[in-house]
Amino acid sequence: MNTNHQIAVGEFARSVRAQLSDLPALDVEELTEGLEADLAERLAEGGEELGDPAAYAAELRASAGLEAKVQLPAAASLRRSLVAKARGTVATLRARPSTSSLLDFLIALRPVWWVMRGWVVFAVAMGLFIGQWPFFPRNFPEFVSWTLLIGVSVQWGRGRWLGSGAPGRTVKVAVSVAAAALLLPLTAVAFDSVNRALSDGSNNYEAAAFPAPAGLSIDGINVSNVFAYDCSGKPLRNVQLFNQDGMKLSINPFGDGYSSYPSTERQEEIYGVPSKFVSAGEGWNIFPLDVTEADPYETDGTNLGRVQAPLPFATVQPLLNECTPETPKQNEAILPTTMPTVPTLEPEEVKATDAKGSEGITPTPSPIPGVPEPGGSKTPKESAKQAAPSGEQSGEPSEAPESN
Amino acid sequence: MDTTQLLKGVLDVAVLAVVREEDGYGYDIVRRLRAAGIAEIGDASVYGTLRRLYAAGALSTYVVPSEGGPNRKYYAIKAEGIAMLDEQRETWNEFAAVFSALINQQPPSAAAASSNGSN
Repeated sequence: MNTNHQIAVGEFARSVRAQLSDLPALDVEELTEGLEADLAERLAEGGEELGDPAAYAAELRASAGLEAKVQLPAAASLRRSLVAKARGTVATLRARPSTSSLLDFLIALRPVWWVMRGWVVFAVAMGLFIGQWPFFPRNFPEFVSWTLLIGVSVQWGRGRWLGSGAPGRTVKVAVSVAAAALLLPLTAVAFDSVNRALSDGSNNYEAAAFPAPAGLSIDGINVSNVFAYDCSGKPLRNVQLFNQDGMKLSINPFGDGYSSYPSTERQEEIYGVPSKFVSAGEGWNIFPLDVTEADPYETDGTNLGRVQAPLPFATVQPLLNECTPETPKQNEAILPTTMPTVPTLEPEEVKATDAKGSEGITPTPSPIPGVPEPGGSKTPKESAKQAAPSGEQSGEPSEAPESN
Repeated sequence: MDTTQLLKGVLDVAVLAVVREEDGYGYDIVRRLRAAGIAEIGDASVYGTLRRLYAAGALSTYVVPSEGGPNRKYYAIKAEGIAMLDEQRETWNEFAAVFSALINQQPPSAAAASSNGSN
């Protein structure tokens, strides 16, 4: 086929299809499939001129037993000419093997478009009627409507339901054009929300897989012991910690009764035990925890001994040059006014109070007498130990419990 | 007499006969009809007839890829088409026989006159 023929054939076939454009698309396609090839062959054989496309179309139509073309109103003929143009484009694509196979590929994808069209209608309906954009049905009624809409769209695509009459075709075209216009933005939004949901899901999964540890923790890792230093940088003993609600800031002994952790100094596991001043299992918020002298798992678990936990720092930097924790004023500054009553109580009472949990905190506005007196204090040893932040605690802590 | 008018009624049986002989695509069938002597046949009439016979279930189609050109849609006859052809052939033969007899008969007087004259 030479180029002149090719152009003539393309033009002629386009015109013929335009003349038939009032027929259903399937009829036109069946009638004119292979039209270019036939016309080209006829021209190549030296046949007569192609003639009048309108007459050709009329002959085609009459011999195929299809009704004659009716005169169309102007509004409809615009649509017809659009349709004819589209069909002409299809014919042009069909004329070349490469574009023809592309067209076949797209035609193979047509069912996908039918499903997408129903889905877009579903999304738009959800947005209009319930004001939300669930791209996937979330419950049974939504699932039913989703299925129905896709089903209707597929049936339309197959030329069933609503496809025959002119009003039905108008609805179909309107829905298709709207769906095609919305398909891309909706797909983008849907992908975005799905991706977000997926990443949220994985975050939730991580959160679920690694719950915050029970008891005191920092950055998700359990705290095994706490060391407090006073304002002069010296270690404090028997500091009781509470949170803003009065709950004990207790470390979690993991059920085996010891807050064990590897000691960098002793190159072995050390085992923290709760304060001896309160009833068993209650003293996990009194720091630093003492540690056992012997490994509880290598002995029978009794008479383990009790020693001070090795300090991470012997001293730390003083906070203020003028810090003198010995004075009552400074002492008050360090210890909150809502300091627990423990220091003023005898050990037995401490137990009783502490056993009540956080209610053991009762404000004692009066400063503790005698605390600031290093050495010659007449206050009970325990009071001095718990409150005095200075080096006065140098007395062995294991001395006190003997009286207990 | 305008044969195109006559053709309209008998194109179906002609097309069926040609397709039964051998499968073919649109223009191929046109060519074979012309080769058989039906010169006045229009392409579009044949294509339309093929399409109508296909829609009526008399023909089936299949696509044959052709190198360097668009695919060809071939038509083949189905059992229904063969039955239709047989029936229409019978109708045609009866019709043609009746018409041949009718339009070929000599006027009796002329025949008598001529026979008389020859004798």
